[in-house]
Amino acid sequence: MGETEPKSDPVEIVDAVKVPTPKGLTGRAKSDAILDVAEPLLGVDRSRGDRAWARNQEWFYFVTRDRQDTMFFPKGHPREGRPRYRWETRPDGVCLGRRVEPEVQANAGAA
Amino acid sequence: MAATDLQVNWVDVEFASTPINRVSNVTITPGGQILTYSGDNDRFPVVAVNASNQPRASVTSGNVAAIMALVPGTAGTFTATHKDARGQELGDIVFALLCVVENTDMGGQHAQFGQATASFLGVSADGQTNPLSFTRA
Repeated sequence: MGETEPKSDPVEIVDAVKVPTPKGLTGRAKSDAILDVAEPLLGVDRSRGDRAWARNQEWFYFVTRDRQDTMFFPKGHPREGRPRYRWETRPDGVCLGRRVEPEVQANAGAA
Repeated sequence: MAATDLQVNWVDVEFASTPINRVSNVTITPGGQILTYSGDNDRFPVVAVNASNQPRASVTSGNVAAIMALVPGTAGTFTATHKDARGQELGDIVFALLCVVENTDMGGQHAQFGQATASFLGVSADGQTNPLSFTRA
């Protein structure tokens, strides 16, 4: 058998990313550093018009593909104030967010 | 060629998907609200914290009718793109503010173009997520 190409782990696309506020960077370099981390994790394809929207949360930047997204369920929602994502923290401090299952959201008010 | 770190001119300015043209100025502010503390024999604040934020944006335009058509209290998204000075790819900064129209005012001097300004106040759906976001284009 011939040599095989080394396998690279496929990148899992997540729904939201928290990027720690970059230290020692300002202006354009700072925003580029945030979006350079978040865009691949969010599966942003600029050729399709995708965008990653970053929000300054003081200690970190909350980044998603939709600028309407929030970290918690909104006021008036049956799950008001609860997290909309399950978060997994990487060793570098970047947090990967996966949306709470849609069924849970839909059934939240029925309980 | 890399982005210039300089921005010149605003394009794609709109509120609630309604374009605003004849734009001469846009402002964006995170609206920090610094709360200071001093006590005992302190003469100066010994603690200063950014306890809350009221993000805001405003746009000034020569299209007076477009601005004055905005009704205070109306909810929507204000967006504006600040162009890279040399038009470099990924050099533009796009701002978006989830907001309500705060106020509009207009005026015009004799023998000058009239202009109007609309201001917008950010509103967060969950009270925690910053309604002001940015991306690059």
